[in-house]
Amino acid sequence: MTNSAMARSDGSLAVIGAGPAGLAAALTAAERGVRVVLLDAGAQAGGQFYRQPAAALKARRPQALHHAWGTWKKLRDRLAAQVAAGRINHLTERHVWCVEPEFGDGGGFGVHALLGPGQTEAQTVTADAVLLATGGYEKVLPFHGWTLPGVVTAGGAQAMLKGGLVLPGRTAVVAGTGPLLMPVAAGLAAAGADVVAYVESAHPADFVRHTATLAANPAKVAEAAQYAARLLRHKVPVTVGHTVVAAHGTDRVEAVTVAALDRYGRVRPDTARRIACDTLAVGHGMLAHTDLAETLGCAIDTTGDPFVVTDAEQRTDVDGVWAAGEATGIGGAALALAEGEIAGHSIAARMKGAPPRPADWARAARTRTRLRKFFAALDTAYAPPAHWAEQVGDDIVVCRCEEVTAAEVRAAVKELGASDLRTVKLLTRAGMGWCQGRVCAPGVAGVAGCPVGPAKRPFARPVPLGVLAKEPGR
Amino acid sequence: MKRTPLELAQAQPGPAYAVTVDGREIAALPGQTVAAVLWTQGITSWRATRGSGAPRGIFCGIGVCFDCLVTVNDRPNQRACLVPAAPGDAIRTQEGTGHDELGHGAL
Repeated sequence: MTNSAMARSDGSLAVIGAGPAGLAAALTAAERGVRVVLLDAGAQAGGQFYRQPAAALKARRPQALHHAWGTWKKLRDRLAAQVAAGRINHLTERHVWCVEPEFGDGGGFGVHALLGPGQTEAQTVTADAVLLATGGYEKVLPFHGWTLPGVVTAGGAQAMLKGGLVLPGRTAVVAGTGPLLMPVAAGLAAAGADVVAYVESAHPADFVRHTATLAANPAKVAEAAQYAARLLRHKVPVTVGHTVVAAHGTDRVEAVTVAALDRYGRVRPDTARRIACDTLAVGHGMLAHTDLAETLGCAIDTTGDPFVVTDAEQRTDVDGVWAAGEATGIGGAALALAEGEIAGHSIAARMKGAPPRPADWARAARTRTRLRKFFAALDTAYAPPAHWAEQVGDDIVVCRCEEVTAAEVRAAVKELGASDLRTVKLLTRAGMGWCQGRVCAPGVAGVAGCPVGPAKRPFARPVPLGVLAKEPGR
Repeated sequence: MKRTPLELAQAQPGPAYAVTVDGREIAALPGQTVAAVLWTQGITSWRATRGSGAPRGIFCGIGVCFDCLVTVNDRPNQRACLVPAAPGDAIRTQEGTGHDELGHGAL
C-alpha cells in the first residue's frame, strides 16, 4: 500500500502497545482527527513504565511506585477524553501475534490478536496504517545459578511490584548494569525489602568521557540524583565495578557471590564476597520487541542488539507502518513519548494526504535528538563486562527453556562449525523452547561468539493451532 | 516491622478469597495474578523443568520468558505472571510438559 492509496481512504490507525510511545502516538493522531484502535496486552494502559496496580487492589497512592506521575496523569486524562469522544477505541488484553499487510478486500493491514488472559480466542482488527509501539524487555546474561527461583529480572521484580503489589522476598540484591537498576532498587527498598547490595558492573570512570552529554541532560542527571538519594535514605550499600558471579541455593536463591572487575572487565581473583539474600534482581540492559516489525518486513538494525529502523518521521521502510519507543532503540520513557508524538503528527498528516510539517513537532524532535545522544552515551558506559562470555562456565545452562549448557553451545561452534545463532539453535535446541530465544539469544550468541542477528520468528507469541486453523485464506 | 507494598500504595482491596495450591487452601487478594498470590505466600517455584526437573518460578515477570508456567483449573502451561487468580481456582505445580498429570499423556 502506498501513502497516496491511504489518503483516499477515511482511514483508521492501529496502535500496538499502550505504553508511553503508543499512547503519545495514539493521542497525537486522534487529537488531529484520526480514528485510532489502540491494542494492548495489559488490562490497563501504561505499558511497563506506567504499569498500574490491578484495579481490584484499589491502590489509593499508586504514584508511590512511580516516577514522573504528573506526565502519566496527563496521558491518562487525554486518553479518557479521546475514548469518550469515540476517536480512540482502546482494546485491552489483546496480545497481537501478527500484523499482516494487504489483508482482505480493503488491502490494509490485518492486526491479529489473542484475547487475554486465556488467549484461546482470537480477534482481527483491520487498519489502514499501523504504529508499532511494542516496547522492550530485559536482557540477562547467563551466570552460575541464574535459573534458581528468586533470581528475577530487575524489570520483572518491578513489574510484579507495580502491578501486583508483591515482593519476591525480603532480602534482595540488585545487580547487573544499566539505568533501570536504580529505580528498581529504590522501589524494592521503599516497598519494604531489605536491599542488602546494589552491584553495578560499570565504573564511574566509564561515565567521565561522556561528561558533556550528561551535562546537556540536567533532568536525567537530577533523576539519577533523586534515586541515589533514595538509595542512601534506605541505606542501600552501592558497589560499582563489581559483578555477580554466582547465585547459590537448591530450591531457591540463598546467597550470591559478588566479585570486583579489573579495568578490562575480567573478574579479579580473590575479591569474591558472599552475600546472603532470598532475591536477586538482575539485568544487563534492555532489548527491543521487533517480532511484529520483522514479520512485516521492516528493516531491522542488527549491528548490535536488534531494533526497528525508522526515519525522521518515525516511519519504517514499509509503507503505512510507523514505529516508536523502545522497539526503535532503547532510550526510556521520555524518548518514547517524543517519538510517539512525532509519529502521531506524521501519521495524521499523511493519512489526510497532506505533507507533514516538521515545525509541528520541533520540540519533540529536539528532545529526541538530545535523549538519543544521552542514551547512546549511557549504553557505552553501562555495557556488560567486556569478557563476560569467557566467564560463563561450561556447566552453566544458557538456554533456560531447553536447558542447553554453554558446553553444548561451544561444541556446536568448535566441533561442528556453527558460525551463526540459527545453526547453533538447530544443533543444540538453544532458542527453540517456549520463549523462542527471546531470553537466551544474547547469552547464547555471546558464548558462541557470533552476532545475535534477526530472529525471524513468524509469530510474536505462541498461537493455539485452533486459532491458526480459523484464519481466512489458509 | 517494615512496611509492605500494599501499605506503600495505600491499597484497600476487598476481602481475601480462597484458592488452592496442590490442594492446600491459601488466601488471595482481588486483582492479583496467580504469581502475585504465590509470592504473597512465600512460594517462589511452582514448576519442574522437562529435562533436569529443576525448580522454576517467575523470571521476566512480563510474559516473555515462560518460566513461570503453571496449571490452573486443569489447564497447563499458563503464565502465572499474566493470569489473574479467581475465587476457587485450583492451582497446580507443574512437571515437565505439564500434560502428564492430567492424564492427556505426554504431548
